[in-house]
Amino acid sequence: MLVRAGCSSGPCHGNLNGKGGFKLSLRGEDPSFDLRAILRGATGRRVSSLDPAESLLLKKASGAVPHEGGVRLNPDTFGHKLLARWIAAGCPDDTAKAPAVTRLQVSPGEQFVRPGIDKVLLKVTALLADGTRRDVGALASFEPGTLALVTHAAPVVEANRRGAGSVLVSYAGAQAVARLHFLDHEPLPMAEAAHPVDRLVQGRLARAGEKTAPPVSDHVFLRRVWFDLAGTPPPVEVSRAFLADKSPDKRARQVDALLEGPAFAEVMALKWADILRVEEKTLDARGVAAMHGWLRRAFLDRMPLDAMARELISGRGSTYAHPPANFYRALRDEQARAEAVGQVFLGLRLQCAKCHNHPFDRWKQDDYHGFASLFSRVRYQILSNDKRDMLDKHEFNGEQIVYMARAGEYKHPGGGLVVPRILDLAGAVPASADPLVVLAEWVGSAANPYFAKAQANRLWRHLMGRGLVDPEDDFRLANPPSNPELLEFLAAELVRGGFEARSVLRLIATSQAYQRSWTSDDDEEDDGLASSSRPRPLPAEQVLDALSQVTGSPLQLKGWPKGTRAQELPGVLATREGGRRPSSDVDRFLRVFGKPERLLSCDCERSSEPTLAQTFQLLTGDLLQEMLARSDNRLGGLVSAPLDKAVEELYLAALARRPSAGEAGGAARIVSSARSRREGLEDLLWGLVNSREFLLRW
Amino acid sequence: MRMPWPMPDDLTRRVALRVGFGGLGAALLPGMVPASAIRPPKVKTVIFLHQWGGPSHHDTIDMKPDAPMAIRGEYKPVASSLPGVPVCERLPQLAKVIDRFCQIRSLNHTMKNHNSAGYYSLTGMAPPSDDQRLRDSRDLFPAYGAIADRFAPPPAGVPGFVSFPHQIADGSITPGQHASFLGKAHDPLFVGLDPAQPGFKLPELSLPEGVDPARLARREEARALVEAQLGPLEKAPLARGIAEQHGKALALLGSAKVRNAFDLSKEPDHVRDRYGRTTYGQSCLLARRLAEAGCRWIQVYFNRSIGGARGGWDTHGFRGEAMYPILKDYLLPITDQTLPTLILDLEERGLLQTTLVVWVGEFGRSPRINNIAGRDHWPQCYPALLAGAGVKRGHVHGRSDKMGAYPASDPCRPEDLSATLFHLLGIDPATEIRDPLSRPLPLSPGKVIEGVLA
Repeated sequence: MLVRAGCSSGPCHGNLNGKGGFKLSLRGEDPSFDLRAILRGATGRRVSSLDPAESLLLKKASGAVPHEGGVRLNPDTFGHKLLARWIAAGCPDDTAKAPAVTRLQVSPGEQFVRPGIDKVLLKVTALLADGTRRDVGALASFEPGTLALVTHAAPVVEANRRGAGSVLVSYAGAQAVARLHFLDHEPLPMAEAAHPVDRLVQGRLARAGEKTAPPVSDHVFLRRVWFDLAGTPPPVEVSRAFLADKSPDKRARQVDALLEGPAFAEVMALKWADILRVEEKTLDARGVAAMHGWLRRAFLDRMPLDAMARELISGRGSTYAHPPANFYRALRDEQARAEAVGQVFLGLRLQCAKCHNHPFDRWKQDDYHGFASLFSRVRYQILSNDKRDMLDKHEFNGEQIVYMARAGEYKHPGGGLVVPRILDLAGAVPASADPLVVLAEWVGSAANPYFAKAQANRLWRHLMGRGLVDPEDDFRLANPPSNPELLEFLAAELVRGGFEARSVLRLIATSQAYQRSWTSDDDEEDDGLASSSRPRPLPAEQVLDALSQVTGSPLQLKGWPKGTRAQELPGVLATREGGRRPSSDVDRFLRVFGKPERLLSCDCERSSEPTLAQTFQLLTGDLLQEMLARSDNRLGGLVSAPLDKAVEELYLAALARRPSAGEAGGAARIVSSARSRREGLEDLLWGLVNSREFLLRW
Repeated sequence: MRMPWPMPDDLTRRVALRVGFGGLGAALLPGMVPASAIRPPKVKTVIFLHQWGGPSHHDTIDMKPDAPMAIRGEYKPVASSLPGVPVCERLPQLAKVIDRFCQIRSLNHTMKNHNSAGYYSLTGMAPPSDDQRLRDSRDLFPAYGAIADRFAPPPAGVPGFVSFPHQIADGSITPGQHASFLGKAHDPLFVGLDPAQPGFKLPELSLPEGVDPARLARREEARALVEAQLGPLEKAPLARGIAEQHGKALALLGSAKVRNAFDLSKEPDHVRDRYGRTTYGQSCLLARRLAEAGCRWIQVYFNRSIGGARGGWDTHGFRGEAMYPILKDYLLPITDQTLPTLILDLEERGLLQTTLVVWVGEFGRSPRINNIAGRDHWPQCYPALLAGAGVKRGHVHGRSDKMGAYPASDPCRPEDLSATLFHLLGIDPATEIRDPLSRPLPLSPGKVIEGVLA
């Protein structure tokens, strides 16, 4: 009841230090502790069996005496009466003999609520260990996952704003979730769809009464698919040919061509290098090159994702000769390793369960530490460490051998024994086995309920910009997928295709869902149903490579082969010889546009919001100015071309389309107003690459 | 989107929920308003003078003349403008204005390394470990100025958070100097140039070579031509965001106010001389000009490196870097010239009514002078100086013990200082933000130091 009233929440008495001298276990995870705190704390004033009404517990909760937390339980509520009855009965301790809750059911588990209705009654049933069932709607605690839902009259859930949201229901350590869609529109008949992805997308959209945005035009599609699968805008010749192509299957053919191209592996390698922490200080430049090269090779060779995961999780040996060993080289303690495997391969953020049971999922503290203990035997044989800064324990420069010690020690922070096991799987990992080989086998196996979904979700997000579960590495009871049927289907397709990323990407990229435009009446928060496509920022590397390609000015990267693109850089730094502080213009540019430092195992480290510093890079920065002004760039060849041809080429290069009639006239006028043709073309191109049509992937 | 400032309480809370990586908000929000309701902000601008390296309190403002020689050191205290509160004889100008300050002499924490302690001093958040090379990762807490920019946005057309003239580091870049997970939009406008150099100007606000205003106008015309074709995309939140930043950048580029603030040549010579023609002196002058322009949080770093002959306050007494000569010839004279000048200048211009000056390092220095005539790191007890809006004048809060080793009364933690600063800016320190894993964190876990409030 105290959990339900919010008393033991994090900001209140559930805080590590309690509140006002009264500490409860966080969200009631330890009933015995709470009982002691209530009975024995505050010199016994909290409860008074002789005069329950005088109990501090009730007086505080009802606001009869000043309480910083306000009124939590009015005297006329069921909760207040229940507590008073319990106190009057002498506060019996039933923690030992009360039958455990084996499962919690909430009904409806999901409901689409028609316009005009703003309340839903939830029925919560606890399945007890003794085989009985009990309605606990009046006892359980309810936590809405969005501000749009309120639960002060739980088990009735009320919507103060239309939209989808979930409510997490907890009772006696068990949890269940209800997903409620308060619709704006009446459901629609389902639109016909030939593509399997579209059938599943349309199914949800019809139930939610949402209309779809129209498909994008050819040039938008072309630009979109090039950025997503090759990391650059389409070259001028490609755009010309694609726009001229009249065949109905040209979009699908373009997807196929890009998936088979070499740049696809670069896009994927960059993505994975981000979350595998491929950065120079810990891996050193050679290790970074080895690891990135291995990732690139893996995608070129169509290595299945499950095989890749197995290689990385069981990775050991020389970090130079056997690149996957760099996975653990970058993760120097067992908890970092466990958390990384959770996020990268399983889509689980386990961190919350390190210090207390996960408040919004079923993970217990013991699950976390049992899992982390699997990684406690990883050791490093440091063959050489020629580091610049002897005081820096994060810096390594030289070869290392990753190996498994015969035994390892792992201590539970709360004391007591840690049983090494894979999350909540029954049964310990036998001490005789190599725990990481056992784990690696399990991760890619059919027994693993997380891997295929987590990877399918990552692929969906790569193309669609938002995960079906979002954030992509946060699968959690209280964060259900926006389209569970579609996630199941994509995961099954990934398995069916032998875990090869291309098959699922092809499936998604050829759907109507991928090819939708954005409509301005879709201004609300993205509900993940893919009724339209939201514009998103280009990643830092793509902005720079696009500027370089469009202006025809290859990047000047010291220490790298001529023509190296930002997307191909294996690590964080573009300055090869390094220094403590990356100092080149390119490094600064990439950092300003959000290239991550790769110190976290999370794609969330890459930032994407527009900033003033980005604008200044383009407005007054030297890098773009130099690209525009180089005499041998694209403009060099256009100075003597007829003006309309030059304008057309610049539009095609920057935006994959031809100028409209109005634009062609305007552009000619602007170019002609300059002191020279060259200067005029530079200014036009500056305008093109500073436009949002250029700066967005839309 | 910018909120009007100050924001009503409930709006602050609602906005807070959407900050950072939040999404799942309400579940963790306490369903109540804390007892300490927010008062209207007293402080419009904070000038945060960060004393990198860790200044010795024994040799500046918390002297222990009755302690043994090995502790009290070479310098003697002299009477100041505040009866009974002497100041080091090497800081005579500061002694004259010490009655303007509110001193805290009982700050303390447990981080003995510069980077961990530095991060603590720049964010008010205890670092995950005491690490000499604490890495600057995006799960660490945002800088004070980023929070101020986010929750107490500046007037239109001025940057909220400006920092200069160094990025501080000790082997690796010290975390806590940018917005981290609060979002790059709240990163400081960082100026890594020396304001004491002739021709100092902001590169962002200077057109590249070969581009004159007429050419920029033509470029903008070309951009407008393409933008006109954008169609419905124009209304997408991200597209609006880019346009907003572009507009802001153009406004700054064209704003005489901000450009003038950065143009120190507009300042009469005698004023520039008064501040001292040092990097730090001219930085403090720049800080005053930015305060006049209305910036919310101005951060001046004393030096880029922790110590050395011309570095920060890290005076261990290493070979070639003897402590007392460095104090006598460099650290104390610079401080004595610049800090009192800044306070008096702000006062003369009436800016001290709305501006709060904070002078603090990442820790203090050991009471005992070590065997190479230096002082070592000492986070167990160290001081801060506050002056101006919202705080008491001529006041000492918290005392150190007779050796200056531990707080003897009213111990304060860096998070208490952060809570106090946010409170003075009209920001509820309990406002919740989300880290990259969406875990809820208060802006400050500390308690407002009521004893310093005016």
